[in-house]
Amino acid sequence: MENSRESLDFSLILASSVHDMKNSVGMLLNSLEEYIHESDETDPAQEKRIATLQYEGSRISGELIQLLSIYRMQDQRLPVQIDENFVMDTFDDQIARNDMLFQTRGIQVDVECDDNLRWYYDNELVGGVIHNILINCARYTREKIVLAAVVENNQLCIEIADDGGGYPSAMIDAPINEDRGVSFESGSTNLGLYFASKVAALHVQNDQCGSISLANGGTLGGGRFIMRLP
Amino acid sequence: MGGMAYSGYQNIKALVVDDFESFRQMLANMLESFGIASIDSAVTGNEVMRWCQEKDLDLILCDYNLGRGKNGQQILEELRHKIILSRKTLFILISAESSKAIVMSAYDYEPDAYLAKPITGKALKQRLDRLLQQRDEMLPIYQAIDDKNLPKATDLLNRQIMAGSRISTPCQKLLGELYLESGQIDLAEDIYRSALQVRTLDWAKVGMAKVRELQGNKGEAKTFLREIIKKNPLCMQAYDALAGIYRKEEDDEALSEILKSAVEQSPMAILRQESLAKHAIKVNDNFTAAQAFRQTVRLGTNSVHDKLDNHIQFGRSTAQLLRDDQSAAVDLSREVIKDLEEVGSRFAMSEEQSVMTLFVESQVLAGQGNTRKAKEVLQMAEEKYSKLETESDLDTDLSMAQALKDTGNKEASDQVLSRLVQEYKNDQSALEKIDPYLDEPISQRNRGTVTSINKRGIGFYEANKFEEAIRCFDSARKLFPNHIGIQLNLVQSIDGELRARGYDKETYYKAMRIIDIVKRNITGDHPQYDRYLQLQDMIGAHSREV
Repeated sequence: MENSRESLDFSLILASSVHDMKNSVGMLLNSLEEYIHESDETDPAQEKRIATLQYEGSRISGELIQLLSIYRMQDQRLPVQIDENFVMDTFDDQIARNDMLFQTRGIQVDVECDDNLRWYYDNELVGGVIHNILINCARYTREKIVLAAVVENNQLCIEIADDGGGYPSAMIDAPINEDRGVSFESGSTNLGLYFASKVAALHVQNDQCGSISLANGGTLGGGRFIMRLP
Repeated sequence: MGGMAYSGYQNIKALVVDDFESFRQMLANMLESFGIASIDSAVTGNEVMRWCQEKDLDLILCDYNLGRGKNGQQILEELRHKIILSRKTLFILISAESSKAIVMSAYDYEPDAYLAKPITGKALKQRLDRLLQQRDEMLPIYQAIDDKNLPKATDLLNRQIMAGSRISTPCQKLLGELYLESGQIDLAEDIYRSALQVRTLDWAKVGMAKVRELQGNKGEAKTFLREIIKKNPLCMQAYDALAGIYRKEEDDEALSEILKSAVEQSPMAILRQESLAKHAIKVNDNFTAAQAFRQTVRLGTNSVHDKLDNHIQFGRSTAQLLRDDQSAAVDLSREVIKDLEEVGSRFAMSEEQSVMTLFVESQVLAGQGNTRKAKEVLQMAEEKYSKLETESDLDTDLSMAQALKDTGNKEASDQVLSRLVQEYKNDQSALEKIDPYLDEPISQRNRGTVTSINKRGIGFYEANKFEEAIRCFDSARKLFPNHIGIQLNLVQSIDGELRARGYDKETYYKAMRIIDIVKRNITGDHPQYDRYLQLQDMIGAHSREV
């Protein structure tokens, strides 16, 4: 009894500390963006450093947000607000959010989506998933990312593809769940995928439940992240 | 195409609100780079109010966390509550939280949009492009509504919906509301039905429930609303609508339940806390009332919905709780004392109001067992009371009577009460208010209530249905906490239960507690004094503890 209370308190402490960290990283990223705006950096080595700062900063920020969301999901305190959204707007938001990152890395982001395509989902959560995947793609792609969305079999199918080396086959084959464990060696917690699968699963309509999957190939020949929402 | 640029920035009047200069500057720079010429900034809520009254603003970018004073949500609350904000002004709340997670539906008012930090120029521009474009498309509709030109407003809305434009969904929502407000129920039903044909969405289902209610089909309305809540426990509109129906049906129990779960989901919504607290008072649930009033007092800091009455009621319900069971309200009473001592700095109180808070404070102090301090405060209150220039309120006088009694001066308390009974002898509703303070009710209605409850309870007792009898007298006791006959009937029913079922510690202690309360109220010349002594012995005989 005593013990469970202690661990409960600790997760609360952790959550509030994560919350603080997230805010601080947000301030760092804001200052960094202002700095990039104001400086006319032409030294390529310096540019690269800035790009690294920005990428790692965004990654920390994204990961902290995920942690908080998962903490709330566990507690069932994560409000899911399913509403009609323009998919294009969701895409635009996430691309704009990471605009600097793509610029500094010289990555071209294309969107293949009907302007008027509307679908029902929680914009905040789905946007968060796209954000994480985009940051991940920015690291592994060569020069191009394609964000695409269509409606297939009464499900919205969002695909984020890159022209990098693709996902390792172990990742593609493994089921995505929380038991998959953390690989400290590879530095990957797969938290992003876990978060994505949770978010997808929160979207339910007529006994159908959202899902995610990974693949390689496609028109760009790199990794493909696919999210289906009923 | 999705991010079609907005072309009207040069005419936009914007206000940036943040307590950090650097953040304000950064936002202002961004807005300037979009082409906005009129950009003002503010740090506090009062400054925002001033700007809003001075300028016809189009856009307010407001940080959630503003340090001391009101937060962004509370500023929005005040703007909307005082109707300072026109429909055309976009209020955007910026938050470092994963934005809406903390704020969403937890409050009574929602902003037009949330923006999560960190904010980048491009993302802000895109968001504003979209929001302002949508607003501009809605402007003629808002204008028609403000002009009270309903046919024009509905016509414009219908056109947008028919055209399937980008704003067709918000138009559907608005049109449904307009139809409901203007009593065009069948048209509202059409709107919600066609929306529901595409997908089950909360807003359309809540709308449909309201349609059913107005059509007189309350049963189906309730079923709809319960279904929504089951699927999405955060759909606050469904709770509010359901509470509205229960209130009309005077289903006190169901209303208590739904208000409690609504407050659980949105603990920050001060108005929901207030309605729970008031309802709890109505049904004599002092525990819930004290808890909920505590929240209204806490949330009241900086809120436009802070009310002196909430503070007083917090004190009163806590005092009542203390009278019933001292141990239950230790923390609450501490908080009340602190609050009542500070309340003078929060409100400009009239002399009578400050007398009132002192009476309540004295009651709580007495309940805490701090009789000396309670008497001091009471004396202070009585001095002020004697100097009141206007006729005092019944509420004030009753609080005085209660404070006198709580501090051990039953005689003086009874004198006040008899004076009141005399004074209000022709005012039945006032007498009903006085009744709970009297040993026996005096208003016709309450006398009738007591007679019928007694009759019912005695019926149960005589049929050896002790549990039912206990429940019956227990609820009567909550209505008339000083009625000695009812309390003794309750004790006698408990005695029956103990005889029938054997000793049970909890039941035994309950009886002892009530005997204790009677002891404080009864005097040797009371007609039921002998019965009281007899029951005390009977209950005492059940105890196995020495």
